[in-house]
Parts: sequence; C-alpha cells; structure tokens
Amino acid sequence: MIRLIRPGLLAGVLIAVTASGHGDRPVPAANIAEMCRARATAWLASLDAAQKARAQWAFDSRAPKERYFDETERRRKWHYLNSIPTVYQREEGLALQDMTDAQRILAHQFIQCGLSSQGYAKAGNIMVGEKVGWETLPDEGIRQSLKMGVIGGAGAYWLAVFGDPADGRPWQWQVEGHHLALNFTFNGDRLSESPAFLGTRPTVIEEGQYAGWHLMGYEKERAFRLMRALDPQQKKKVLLQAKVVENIFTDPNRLHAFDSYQGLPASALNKVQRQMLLDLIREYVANYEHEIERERMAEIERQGLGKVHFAWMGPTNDIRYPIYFRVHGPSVLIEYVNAVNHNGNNAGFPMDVEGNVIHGEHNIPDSNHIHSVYRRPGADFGDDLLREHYMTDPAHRPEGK
Amino acid sequence: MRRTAVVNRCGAIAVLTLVAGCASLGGGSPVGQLVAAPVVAARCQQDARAWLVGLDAEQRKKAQWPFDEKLRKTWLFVNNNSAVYVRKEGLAFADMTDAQRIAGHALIACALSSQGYGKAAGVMRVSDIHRGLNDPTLNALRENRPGMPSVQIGATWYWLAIFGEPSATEPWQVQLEGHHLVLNFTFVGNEISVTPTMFGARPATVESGPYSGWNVLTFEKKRGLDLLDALTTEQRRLAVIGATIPEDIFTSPLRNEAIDGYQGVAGGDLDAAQQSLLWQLVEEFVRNHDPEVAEQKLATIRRDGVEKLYFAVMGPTAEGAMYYRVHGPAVLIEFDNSLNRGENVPDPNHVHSILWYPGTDMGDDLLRRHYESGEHDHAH
Repeated sequence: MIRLIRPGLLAGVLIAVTASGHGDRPVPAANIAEMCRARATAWLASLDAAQKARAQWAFDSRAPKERYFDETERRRKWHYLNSIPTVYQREEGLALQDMTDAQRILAHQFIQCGLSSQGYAKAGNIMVGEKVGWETLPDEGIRQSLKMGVIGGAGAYWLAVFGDPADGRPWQWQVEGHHLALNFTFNGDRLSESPAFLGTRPTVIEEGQYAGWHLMGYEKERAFRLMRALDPQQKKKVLLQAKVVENIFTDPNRLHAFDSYQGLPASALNKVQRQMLLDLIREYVANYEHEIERERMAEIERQGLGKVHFAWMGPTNDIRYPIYFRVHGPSVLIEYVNAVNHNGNNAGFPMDVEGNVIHGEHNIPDSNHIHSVYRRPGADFGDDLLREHYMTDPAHRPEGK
Repeated sequence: MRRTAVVNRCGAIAVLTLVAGCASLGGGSPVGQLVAAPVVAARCQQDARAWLVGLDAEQRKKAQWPFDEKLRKTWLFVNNNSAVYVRKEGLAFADMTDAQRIAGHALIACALSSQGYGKAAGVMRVSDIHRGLNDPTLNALRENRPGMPSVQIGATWYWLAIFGEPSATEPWQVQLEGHHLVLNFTFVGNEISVTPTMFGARPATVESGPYSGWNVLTFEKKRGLDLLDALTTEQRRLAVIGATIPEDIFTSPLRNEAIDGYQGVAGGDLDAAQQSLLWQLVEEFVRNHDPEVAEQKLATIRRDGVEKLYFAVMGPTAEGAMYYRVHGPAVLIEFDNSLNRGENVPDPNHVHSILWYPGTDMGDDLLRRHYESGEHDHAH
C-alpha cells in the first residue's frame, strides 16, 4: 500500500510541493494518483461512444468462466497470450490499433502516469519491438499468423479503465496485450501497481536491421551477477533443481502458487551480495515512478530484507542457458523464466550441485523467450487498499467478498 | 580557474574540429571522482573481444583504432552529413552481419542500465521514423549530397569503435556515435568513465502512424518541468536565466561553448521536497548507466551536496519548448527541446540532452593517474 499524500515518510515531497505556495501552476505531476486520474479522464474524453463502451467498465463488472479464466472480476483478467485472438479474445479495453493518432498519444501519456522511464522503455520496446522480432523468428506458425493478420503488433494492446476515476471511489487501469500486462488500482491517493507481467519473444532480435536489439536483457544479467557472487554453499541452497520449468508458477489463474519460501534468504548474504539482490529487485520495482519505488524498497527493508529469498533452476555458470529465478519475500514476489517453449530442452542439463554445467559445451541457448511477473503478496489489484474500502463502503463490495 | 585553460586550449579551434573534451567545463571541480566497476569492466572487455573477433580484416580497420588516436575525442551527434561531418572511425551497424550486430548491441549494453539501454534502443529505432519525416534539414541533405549514397540516418547508422585493445590493465575505450546518440565508455583497469553521454530524439513523441504516442525520451522534460513547477516565484526568478530558448545545448561539439560558472537557483535554496525533485532529475541521467557505476556517481554528487547543484532554465514556452541545466562540482546536465531549423512549430518535439562528469570525461582523470603512476610505456 502506498499513500501518496502523507506527511513525513515520503520526505514530505508531495505535501510540501503542494504547500510551497508557488502559485504559478498546479503540480499534478508530483502526485501519481492525481496524474493518473487526469490522464485517464483526458483519454476517456477523447473517445466516441462506441470506443468508450470498450474502454470503460464498472469496477466490479464480472466476466463468465472461459478457457483461460475462471469466473472473475473483469479487472483481474490478464493473459500473456493476448493478441493471439484464436487463443484468447478480450472484451475489456480498447486496442491501440482502434484509436486515432490523437487518442493513441493520450493513451501513451496515460500509460506513463505511474511508470518510470525504465518501466515505460521496457513496455514501449515490448509493444514496438515484439512484432519486429516475430518476423525474424524461426517459427513458421508465427510467420503465417502474422501474414494472416491473426496476431497483432504494436497496435494489439488493450487499454481499459474500471470504475470512474472522477467519482472518488476505487478505480483501476490496465494495459494488456501479448507479453505485457500492467495494472494500477487506486483508492483515493493510495495505489497498487501489481500484478505486472513483462515478457518477450524474442529477447534479442536475431535477424535484419534491428538484429541485436534486446527487448528485456537486464533482468537475467542482474540475476546472474548475484549468482556469480555466491559461494559454493550458497549456490547449493539457491539451486532448487537442475530442470528448468517452462513457465512461471503464478500465472493468471494461480495467484497464490507458493505456500513457503524457497532458496537462500538474504540474511545469509554478505553486504556486496545484498546490494546485488537489491539491484535485481530494483530492476522490477524501479519500473515505477520514484515515489512508488522508494516506498516499495522501504517496505521491503521494513518487513526485513533478510526474509527475502532467492531461488534458481538451471545452470548457474553460463548466462546463455535457460534459467528460472524467483525473488520472494513478505512484500515482493518476482518470477522470471527464459525457457518458455523450450521444447525438449527442459529435461535439465548435466550439472554439479552448484549448478555448473558439466562437460562444457552443450550449445543449447536459452529459449529467447521470457515470461516474468512482479507481484506484491496480498496487495495485487489493490486488495490491501480495498479491504479497508469494503469495510467502510459495503455497497461497493463485490459478491463473495 | 579551469575555464581559462580550456579557452586557451580550445579557443582557436574551429567549431567543426569537434574536440569534445573542451566542452565539459566551467565551475567544475578540477579532479573528478573515479569509479571502480569491476563487474562492468570485465563484462565490457568480454563483449568487446567477442565483437572484434567476429569482424573481418576490412571491418576491423574501421572498428579498431589506437588509443592515442585523436579521433577518440572527436564526436558529434549529427551524422553523417557530408556538408558538416563525415565520420571515418567506427563500423556502422549497416555494414555488419546479423551476428556482428548482436555482438555490437551486447557491447553497447555492457555499461548501461535497462533505463539507459531502453532509451538508446528507442533512439536508434525512432531514427527510422525520423528518416521518413518531411524534415527540411533532411530534405536539403537528400538534394545536396555529393558522394553520399543515402541519408545516413536510421537504426543502422550508428558507428561503433574501439580505441586501444580491450584490457584489464591498459587504457581502452568504446564509442558509439550516430544521430542523437553518443556513448563513451573509457576504461583503465577496473575503473571506468562513462561520459560524455548524449541522448536526443526526433520525434521525441511519434506523432502519427501505428506507433503514434510512443516516445523514447520524454521523462527528461517531465523531470525538469516538475521541478520548475514546484518553485516559488522568487526561486523561479533565480532559476530562469533567460526568456529565449537557446538554439541548442551549450556543450554540444557544434557550439563548443564553455559554461561560465554556475547559474540558476542553488540546491541550497530549495526545500527538501524541491531537492527531491532535483534529485529525481539527476537520477534520470545518472541511472542510464549500470548501477555499479550509477550508485557511486550518485554517492559522489550527494557527498558534494545537493545544495551545490544549480538548476537553470531558459524559457520555457507555454507550448512546450524549454531548456534546462543542472550543474555542480561533479556533474553537468543539459537538456533542450528546441532546434528545428527551418520550421516554426510551438513544440519542436525534438530533444537534445547531455551528461558530463567534469574532470573525468573520456577518462581524463583515470588516464592522468595511469600515466603518472608510470604503469605504461607509451609516449603521449
């Protein structure tokens, strides 16, 4: 939970900015909730009635059970397979490709409201870069699908608002499409920025004028940096198994996949290693604006950085191989896998107990396909903010809550 | 004062001689802060060797130059305009194979953060969109380009060069240069200099077509406006040092003007909330590099004191053009959203920005120490 106007804790930034009496112009940009409200309102106001019917939904609107989802609130639906309509068709949200240029410009400004330049660059590069990447993949199915127009590109991202940003009640915005899902839920000036899904295929474009362009190269780099700094005993504890899973555990229908921590706690790390763990966490948390980042990092410290666990599957000594890692603590859960669709190679590699690949070259690169998720246990979709809200505003409580 | 020496050294140099070292001056502390970054240094060495080894002999001639080469300090972000500047050092991505491009991008990424690489990749990508614009400057180039086969602006028109031999002991440097993007990573052992760094974009926000709305470089402007908007009337009077927007950043090799002392409102005259916004602005630039480097740089700047950072603004106009500068003993940042020659639009949607760490740019301080220590036997 983050309270954006709160004396003291956030260095008094927002309060003091508002109260500094400059008088020249208001400073909505200093307040993320306010900025998101303003940008949501501007975008919604630019839409015609038919577009708006796609774009805006009641906060508690529910969707029936379907192939990839149990019956659920619409605002909780997201899936990395989106934009492959033969697999998963989405009702909620207006696609970028169904907007005018002016509307798309407003939409991109809206998406930026809670993100940092780091986060927006990742999102933007996934949206713009994935289609370029698809065209170069050695996957005939995808090439055919692109030709037939049954999978999208930069335009196939759906932006939705749940609730009314202006009525003072909880609301949410979501952008969702292939390999990208961002959710911001607001209750007054408090917000929740999770869950977030970032993925890409390919991670590195392999052919053509954009060859070499990474869409999501640093998460694995940060994780390996920590792994390389561990001693053999620590590595043994971090390594859960040689075999790499093919996907994250907490997919959209399994939000609570873990009932315990696994791997090595940060309490067993030295100072340099802890800094590397923090750099890895920041690779996710710093996707959000400074106030959010600061508050989340402070919260992780408050809850005890020592309780945050680092876990791994797959080779630990060669960054080219497919891997899975997890960072899990009281207020943060990160999962990353670069082994999606790694058909036939997921049986594991001959490794020693520290994860060093035995017999050298297997010549098996990672799958060039990442799925990754950032969650805050108990606080995704604003669940922590809304618990309080439902207590005081029962009329707004969804059935079964 | 240091600037005097700089003027002496650079004063006679014509603008287009482009000696970049001349630009980073004024008011800065004479000795920069070193950054030991063993993880980054090791990765960059490995990535540089991997890129070089994949090149053929002809390519390598363009790609690798002696460290002493004067061209190491020569750079410009307006490539490759026969009327202005034709670059000879460096191998363009256009002239690489796919495998070489992949290795080349890994090298660019080796000392950047995801924030910095995300911006760099976006800048390169958006150059293709720029090439398609009806831009009077580009149109003039297209009509008047003797000996140049095409307008060399686009995602592949970035030149990557290595000066010296990637080494754990001897000095060497990676340089990427092209339209709106210049990166310099200079190494001496485990120590690294990552400046000057230039990011620009046109369009900063794509205005039409399937990618409209996408912007590759707008947070810099937002940070400047957030701080400006938070100032009191009195602070603002100090901060705004000119009503007219300059035609470009001052420390561009194209202008090569020394900045004369600190100007604007001092961090010491800001309250805690305003200082925090100033700090966010600084981070928007410093954190473009790997955290191993960035966190040390931030610590240095913090140790010097946020109160010693000066924030100066020219403009802004109501429509969105603006210029700002942040200047302190260990850092100089310039940003502008101006400069569309031959056009008269309110928001030029055209950004230039630059980061210097005075005293350490291009590894100057690292090299001074290296040479003084007698660990080398080169003549300089």
